[in-house]
Amino acid sequence: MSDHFRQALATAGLAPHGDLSLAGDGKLQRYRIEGEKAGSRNGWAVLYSHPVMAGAFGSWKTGESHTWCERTSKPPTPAERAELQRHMKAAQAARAAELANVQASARERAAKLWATAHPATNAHPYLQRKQIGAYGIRQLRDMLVIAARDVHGQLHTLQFISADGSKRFLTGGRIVGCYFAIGRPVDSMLLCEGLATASTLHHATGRAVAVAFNCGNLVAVAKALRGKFPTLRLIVCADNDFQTPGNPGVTHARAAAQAVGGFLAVPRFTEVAP
Amino acid sequence: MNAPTDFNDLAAMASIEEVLRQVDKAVPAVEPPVWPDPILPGALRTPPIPPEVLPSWLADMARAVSESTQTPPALAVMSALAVLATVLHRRFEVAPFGDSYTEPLALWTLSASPSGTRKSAVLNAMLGPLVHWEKLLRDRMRKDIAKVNATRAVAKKRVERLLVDAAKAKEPSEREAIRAEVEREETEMPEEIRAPRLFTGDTTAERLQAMLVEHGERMAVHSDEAGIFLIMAGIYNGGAANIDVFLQGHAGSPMRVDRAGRSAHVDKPALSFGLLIQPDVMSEVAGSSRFRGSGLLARFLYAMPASNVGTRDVRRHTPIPEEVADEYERYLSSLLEGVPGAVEAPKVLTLSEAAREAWLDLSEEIERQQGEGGRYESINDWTSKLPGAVARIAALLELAETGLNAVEVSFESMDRALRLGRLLIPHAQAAFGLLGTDAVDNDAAAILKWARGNDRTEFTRRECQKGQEGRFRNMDRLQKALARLEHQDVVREFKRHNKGAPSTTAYSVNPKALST
Repeated sequence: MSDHFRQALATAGLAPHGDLSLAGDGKLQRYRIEGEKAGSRNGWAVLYSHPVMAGAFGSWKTGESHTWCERTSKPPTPAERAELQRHMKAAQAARAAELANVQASARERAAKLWATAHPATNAHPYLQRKQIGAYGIRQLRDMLVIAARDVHGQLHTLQFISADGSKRFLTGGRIVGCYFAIGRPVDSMLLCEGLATASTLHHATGRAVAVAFNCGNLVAVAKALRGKFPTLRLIVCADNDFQTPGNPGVTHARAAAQAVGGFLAVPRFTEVAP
Repeated sequence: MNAPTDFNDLAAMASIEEVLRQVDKAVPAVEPPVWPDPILPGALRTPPIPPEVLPSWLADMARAVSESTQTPPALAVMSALAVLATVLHRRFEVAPFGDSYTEPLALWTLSASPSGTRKSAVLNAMLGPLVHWEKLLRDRMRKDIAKVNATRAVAKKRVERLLVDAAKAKEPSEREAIRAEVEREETEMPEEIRAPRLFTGDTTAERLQAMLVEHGERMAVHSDEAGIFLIMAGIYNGGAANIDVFLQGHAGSPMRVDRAGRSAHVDKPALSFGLLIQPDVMSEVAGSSRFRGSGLLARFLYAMPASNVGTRDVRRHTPIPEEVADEYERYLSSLLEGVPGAVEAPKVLTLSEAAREAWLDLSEEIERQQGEGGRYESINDWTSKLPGAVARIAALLELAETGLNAVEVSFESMDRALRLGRLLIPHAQAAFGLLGTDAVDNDAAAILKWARGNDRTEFTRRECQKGQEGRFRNMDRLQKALARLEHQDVVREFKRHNKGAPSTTAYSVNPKALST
């Protein structure tokens, strides 16, 4: 493997643990990322050696992907450029195929773990601290388990919330467009980012609430819900990240509401400040 | 604890009920609406109209009058434009495309300024040369007029006598001789001559028709009294004024009147107005929907300057410099060359290519803004006429600058006219706002004040009524005031959905109306 390619992996924080041999034949390989636990194969990379050294790499865990091309003093000829483009397309296709495998594997693991987990109780420290109820969630050892399903009910991945509130997902599972629902929608449904917010909203309004898990997933979930419930009144309840530049919580929530002709509710703390 | 961000934090800080209250206030996530500039009830915020929009000799006079009278320059500038139109209308036209579409140079200006703001002083100073010109010609023609009048009076008396004799004549030959004598007297009777008039101060529609016939199809009305404006509005005859003569005089369309006792035939009448009146008068005519509907109001160019009463320096007295007044009079006299004269077809000025392009740019800009939802939608009857008015002003400015031999409107004159035209838009918005100053407008102003005081960006009809129960005892009155606010782009109606209940009529407030 080219030193330059290895350097690119390291720069992206995806350096392999130990040796990673890529033949430059365009075959996608999975590998353990440095710092990840033994046995994990969250990293992926694909490399072509002709006409110039070029490739792509990424992480199933974070969902990121990068492309790389060796810089030479001589610019590629049109033919070389066309071939390079073909390789990159093939790399994307290989990644997509592998992603499907990874997600299928995550679905299987999610189903097994979900089956193993038992219904959570309100005694969990996180639920206690947030003063929320355990609506439809499970517990595995000391971790709360929340199911992320698509609009057809297919379980894709799980979110784990530990007692201290730290959260993580099953590696490689699909999250885009998947959500966790509390309650059944009648004429309206709320959509928010996290479990604690959703439980609070359900408790306060009695309406069904969907959890999108992160603000970047709000638009995808809103669209998925709109497809399933064309006449439902969708209210996107934003996180008001007013101390973060660009207020991503409100920005994504507004985009989601606009995408589906929904409504937007933003918590206003100044109205209740003592 | 980290800074609160979500509804769970809100529940912890306040209560679960507060979460419900805020979620219930969810708003439709639509793109923020583009609001046009609102016309605020009773509000007047207008830019100054500087004398620099006029050619130098006229600008100097307007500036000097403004300084001398300590009045906003807008009054003198608008009067100067009306005086220019008085001097040049009917004799010239402008053809923006160089074809058969022409705009006459008649101009209607209306400046509103409260009582005690020295409107009369401005008007007298600007009209001085015209008064002097009329007097000069009247004096010069006095002997001729007296001679002709005497000759005509004698001839008329003689005709009367001859007619009596003819009636008494017994022989046909005698009767025939008298008839021939009457015919000779009538034929030889000299044409009536009148001292030329450029303007009048107060008249009626019927008298105006006669004056147009008598004075070369051209007449102007300059006044600081509201009489003519009230006549136009039909205040004195139940809103049924004969306004055709005014409309025809602005458009230059043929006027034909054949009524018992009088007739008037004028092919290309030209009628200009230079009015300086009190804002209260404008409020008075607001009730005449026919006035606005007829397009009369849309023909006026308005100046609604902020009053400087209270800030004037009473110890300062600045007379109008003699040289400025002399130059003003000299230029006007030169523009009056050939008056009175034979009634001929107007001379047509065209636009230079650059002037036409600039003029079309404005026309396009106006057109795009006056449609539904556009910032000029509420005054689009006025803005529709603005490009035509700007072409007229440009031609007047060109003639003022280069004299009676001008054949083409230069870019410089058009540029000045465009600048003036753009400045006049907010003045027109203010004028139309004032023209709506009736009971409904007062109610509308009260609603806006309530919304501002309570920091309401949205409210329901019910909330509004509850908030001002003393004023709005019934929904009818409230509805009218809200309709006025909506018409003037201050609020917009929308439906607020309610779970399991009929939707509520609510209004969002134009942020520009809240911030101004």
